[in-house]
Amino acid sequence: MLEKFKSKHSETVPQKPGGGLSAQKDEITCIGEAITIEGSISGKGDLIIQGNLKGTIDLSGQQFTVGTKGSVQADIKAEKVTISGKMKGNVTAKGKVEITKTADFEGEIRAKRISVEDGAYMKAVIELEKDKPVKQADNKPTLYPKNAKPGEGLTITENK
Amino acid sequence: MSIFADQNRVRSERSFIPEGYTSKICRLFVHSCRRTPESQILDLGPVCGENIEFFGSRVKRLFVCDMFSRLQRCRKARGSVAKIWNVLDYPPESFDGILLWDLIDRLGNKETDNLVRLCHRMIKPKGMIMLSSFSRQILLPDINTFVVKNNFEVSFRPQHHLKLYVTYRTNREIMTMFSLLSPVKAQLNKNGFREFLLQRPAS
Repeated sequence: MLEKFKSKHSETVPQKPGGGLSAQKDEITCIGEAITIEGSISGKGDLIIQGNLKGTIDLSGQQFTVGTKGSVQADIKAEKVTISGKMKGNVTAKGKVEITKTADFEGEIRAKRISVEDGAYMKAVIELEKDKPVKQADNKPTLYPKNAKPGEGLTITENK
Repeated sequence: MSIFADQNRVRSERSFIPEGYTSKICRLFVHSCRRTPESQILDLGPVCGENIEFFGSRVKRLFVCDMFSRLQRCRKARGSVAKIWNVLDYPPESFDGILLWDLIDRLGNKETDNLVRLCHRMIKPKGMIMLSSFSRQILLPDINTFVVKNNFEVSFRPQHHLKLYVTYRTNREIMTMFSLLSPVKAQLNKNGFREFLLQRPAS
C-alpha cells in the first residue's frame, strides 16, 4: 500500500554517496504534507514524515524522522529517530533519539541515547539503555550530619 | 509575601544569569531516589537535554512533563490554570522523586496548593521532592533551566521562549505550603537560590 502512495504522492530521494545517513542505504522516502497514511510500515530505507501517519512503523537499522510539519500517532522501532513535529506514541531506538525545539511529543522513549533541545513540548517517559555503570563521583551522602539529634528539624546551611 | 515581576521591571531589563553552584541537595535527592532498581523520577521543569541524560542515566525511568510551557500556553490563551494540572494524571504513589525546580515561584498560592496536593498523591511514601526558589535579592522574572552535570554542578541557561510572572515567598511560607511533607534539608546557595528537599512521610 505504501508503494502505491510512494509512486503517486511521495518522493523517493536517491542518496548522494558520502552525503547521507548511512553507506548501506540508498534511498530516503518522504511522505509529503498532503498525505495521510493509516497502517503499518516496515522496510529497509529511511523515512521522513511531513504528512499524517497513524499506525506502526518498523524500520530496524534505519532512520525515522517526523518533520516539522509531520503529525504521527504510532509506535516506532528504528535505529535512529528524529522528532521535529507532532508525535504521540512509543519510540524504541537502538541508537539515538533526537527531539528538536519544534517537537510536540507525548509517549515513551526507549533508546541508547537521547538529545532534547530547549523549547520542545513534551510529556514523556524516558528509559535509557544502561550499557555501563554510571561513574559515581557522587559518593553516597548522608541526609543528616553525624551529630544531628533525632527529630531535629529543618536545617538551612549556606553553601560557600 | 508575594511580589510580582512586573512590579520589578528594572530587574527584568537586566540580562542576568545566576552563578553556578554545586548542589548537595540534588546529590541527596538522586541517592535517595535510587533506593530501588525500578526507581522513577518525575521532572516538571523546563525541558533540558542535559538533565534528561543526567537523571535518565541514574534511574530506571525518567518522566518529563514540562509544566512551565503548559503554564505559559495557558496564560497566553487566558485559560484557567486549574486545567493544566489534569496533565499530571499519573497513578498515586508512582514516583521515588519529583523535581519541581523553581516552578512554585511561577505560581500563585492557590495554584501552588494544587501542585502540592498532586505531588503528595504522586510521590511514594519516603519519596523525595526537590524544589528551588529565588531569594528576594535575585528575584528574576527571566526563566533559566537548572542544568545539572556530573558532580552535581548546576549552571543556568536562559529560556527566552518562556515568560512567566515570578513570586517571592519566605522560607516559612514555603514550608507552610508544603506542610503535607516533611522537610529533610534546605540550603541557601551563595548565588541566592534556596533549595529544599522534602519527603513524604512513610505512612
